[in-house]
Amino acid sequence: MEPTTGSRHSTNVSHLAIQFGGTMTETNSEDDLIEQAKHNPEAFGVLYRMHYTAIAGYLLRRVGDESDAEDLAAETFIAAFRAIGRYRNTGAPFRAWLYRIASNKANRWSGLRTRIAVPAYSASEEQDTESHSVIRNAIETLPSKMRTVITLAYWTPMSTSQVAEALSIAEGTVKSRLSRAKLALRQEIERQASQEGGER
Amino acid sequence: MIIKDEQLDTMLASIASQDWNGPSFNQRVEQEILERNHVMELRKRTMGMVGVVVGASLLSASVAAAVTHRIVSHRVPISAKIVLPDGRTAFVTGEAEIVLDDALDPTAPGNNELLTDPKQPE
Repeated sequence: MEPTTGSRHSTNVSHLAIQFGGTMTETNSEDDLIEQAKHNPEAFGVLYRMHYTAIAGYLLRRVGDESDAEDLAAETFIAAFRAIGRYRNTGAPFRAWLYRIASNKANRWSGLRTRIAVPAYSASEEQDTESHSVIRNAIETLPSKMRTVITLAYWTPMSTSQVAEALSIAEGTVKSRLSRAKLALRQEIERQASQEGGER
Repeated sequence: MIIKDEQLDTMLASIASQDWNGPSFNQRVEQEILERNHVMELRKRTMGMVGVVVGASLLSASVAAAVTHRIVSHRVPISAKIVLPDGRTAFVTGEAEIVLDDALDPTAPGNNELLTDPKQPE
């Protein structure tokens, strides 16, 4: 699998049913909703409902545990809610902004996890497969910039150009980070495999 | 053990296929949104009430000022004979307001003097 390249994913929000209290006016574009959300919490509620599953899914792929992913998703949306007033449309989808926040939350979470010496991912603990644990442990060893790029490129539907827009970096930088991240991942997985082989 | 690029892609793709099967909402986020909404509604209502109180205060202050003005001032009927510059005369009747002020005290000496045009003959 290669990171997605090509069409942008867009969200159809025409004539949304208002789910929070019902005092919000009907709107027919995500941009309108974002503008409303800067002053109206109900509008943010609609945005959150639209993107929650995608963000929680990305976080689940990052951390491998549903409960941790749920906590991180809450932190992501609360952070987005508090920062929505400063959001500027740069042409990247709104969801890309959320992915970026989610990625930062996941990076901080794994940094904290490392500092408090939580054991590495294990298949039984995380209700996960062995190969998933191997890849997640290897990803944890990457520098945060590489980790962000590789997880956004592979575990979200964003294209490399959208990842570049989301991170405010050049597309070439995304590609070079991806290539270096993949090399580092391969080496780490090989190292882990040879270590396990040696232990046996 | 050598990992090929395709193998790594396959491993990454297998994680990418993991979808979120948990709840489609988050209690903490919804609580935060509802709380903020409540605070904003409360702020709006407070601002509205402050506006009403300020408006009512201004209104009562202006009514009080008008009443006080009415109390301290006297309106008296007045009629005056005016001699026009061409020698003709005119009568004016109506109400005049007398403000109780020392300078304008109708009982003060000089205030009751008949105003005459110095150019006109007595």
